[in-house]
Amino acid sequence: MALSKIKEQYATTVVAFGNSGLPLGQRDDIDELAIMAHRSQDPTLIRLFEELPSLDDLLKQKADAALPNRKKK
Amino acid sequence: MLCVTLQSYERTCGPVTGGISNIALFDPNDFNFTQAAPVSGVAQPYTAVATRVGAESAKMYPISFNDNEAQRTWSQTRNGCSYKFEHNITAQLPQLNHELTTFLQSLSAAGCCCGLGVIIRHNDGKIFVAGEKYVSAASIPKFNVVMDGSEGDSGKAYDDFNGANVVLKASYSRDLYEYTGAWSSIEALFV
Repeated sequence: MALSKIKEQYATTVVAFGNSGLPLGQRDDIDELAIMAHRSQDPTLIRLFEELPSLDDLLKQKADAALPNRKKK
Repeated sequence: MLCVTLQSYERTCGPVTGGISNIALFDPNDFNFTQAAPVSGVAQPYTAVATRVGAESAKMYPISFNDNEAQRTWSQTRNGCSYKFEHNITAQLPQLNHELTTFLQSLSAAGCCCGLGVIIRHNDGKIFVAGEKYVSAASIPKFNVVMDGSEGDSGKAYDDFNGANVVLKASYSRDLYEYTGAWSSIEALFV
């Protein structure tokens, strides 16, 4: 489940990133875009998000997803 | 270290292929390229491409060229501390026809007024961007790609080439930056 959330008005918007060309409302990698928004501080991306978690939270979720057997504290 | 911060170029050993797979054009005013902050002073590749406010319906325009007949080259020169990269992008477009004429007219207009944006996929999968204007919502120094030196030929014999060799040129301070997404993500921006 994605931590970040796209604004409803941008659900049909297409942003080229990653491996897909689907509209933002249909992407399953929105958190990757959120990480890009943090690392670039690009207003063009930041404005797309209704909820933009912290970079630390996004990276932690990404790490947890990659290591499913890791014990969570 | 005492005078300049160098970096290594250590490529993982493996085969590579040459040539161009795909080319698409765009209006540099229509698209923004997302770039993360430099890491240890090193510029990062582009990671996302989005339309700018007011250009939500903007598209990129793929061009069909003859197989193995597109190429990009650059040559670097120096004058004191001033460095220049001369870029050339060439593509062989088949068949002289009205559509090609009007296509070339659009390139002429872009070269005069706005510059051209070019996104290129190499046969090895690397994707490069030329002529971009907006990076992380900021305007970057002008990277003006224009059509210059194109030639058309009807051919004489049946098996002669009939079409145009389109040449795009630009002078800039560096080689092209990569875009790290897949070409399929760029195709979603096509007409």
